Amino acid sequence: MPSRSWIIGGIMFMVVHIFESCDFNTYAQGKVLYDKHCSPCHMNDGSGLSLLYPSLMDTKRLRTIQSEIPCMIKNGVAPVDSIPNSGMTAFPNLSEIEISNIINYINTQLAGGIDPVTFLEINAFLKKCESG
Amino acid sequence: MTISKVVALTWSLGIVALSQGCQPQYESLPILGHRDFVDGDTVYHIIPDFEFLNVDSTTFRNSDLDDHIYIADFFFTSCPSICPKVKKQMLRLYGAYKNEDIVKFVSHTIDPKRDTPGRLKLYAKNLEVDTDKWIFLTGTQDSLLDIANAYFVPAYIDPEVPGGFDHSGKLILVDKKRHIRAVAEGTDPKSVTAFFRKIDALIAEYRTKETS
Repeated sequence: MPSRSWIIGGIMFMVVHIFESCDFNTYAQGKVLYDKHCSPCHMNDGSGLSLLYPSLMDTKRLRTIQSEIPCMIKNGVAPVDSIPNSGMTAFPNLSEIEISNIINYINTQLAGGIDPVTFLEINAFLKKCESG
Repeated sequence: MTISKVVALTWSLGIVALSQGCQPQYESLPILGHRDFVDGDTVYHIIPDFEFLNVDSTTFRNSDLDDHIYIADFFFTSCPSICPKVKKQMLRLYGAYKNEDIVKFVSHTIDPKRDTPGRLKLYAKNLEVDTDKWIFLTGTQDSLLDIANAYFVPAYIDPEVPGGFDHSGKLILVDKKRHIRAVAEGTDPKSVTAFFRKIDALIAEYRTKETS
């Protein structure tokens, strides 16, 4: 018969391992989608490229356009004459969940310090460009 | 010789040895590419004569780069794939060598139909770079694709790929005699980090020549 302390020790060991194996990075899908669709222009770290491709690390600016970002991703952005190749590609095939994951990856990991947006909020923001 | 003199001499010798040990040792860069042997002399691959237009629609030739070493790349402004990331790395190099007069940057478009001098000028303006230091060039389609080949950068028209051109994001280091001395993968920041050492080595090569 193993002693009681051995059993308690064993249980503690298992609990620690279960916690360790958990993936706490909840924006894993957001990162995969960001790296594929957004990083070619906005860069992997979100730093952008001078005035050609806006930085996504600009927390202040990003906060002010939170309600517009879902529609920007879904429908793209119109080009500006003074910037060659400006405007943003539309990603009409991304689902609302995928858009939410991308935005929350940007908000929390790249810009940092912006609260994650809920799925319901994204859903409401997207309604604006569906009707317009 | 008194003991204090011996001690002083030992110290000074030690300091000289230390300071020499602190001099960065640069690798000697090879001359890349095919070479021929003509009448016992080695003839190296060089960037052939070219004549392009810069952002002010002024003719720009190899001779305008005399007395400079330069880093060249190929791109087009509407490139949706690798170009922005390559430009980011070029910008990193530009930031580091902005005040090194010997270094210039040369970006060639491979899409002259869309990338007119005016469009390249706007591009450079939005990249926030000085177009005397970082030269943007356009020309005829054939001459641009041919010169890419001379820089060992594969570039060709391919309607199947996004943007219509297939090309590599290589960065090429060219010396004052138009020899290619080093190459980096512009899409890979680590490769560009190693490239810094090679550019430093080439700058050091010319400094040594000037002082000797």
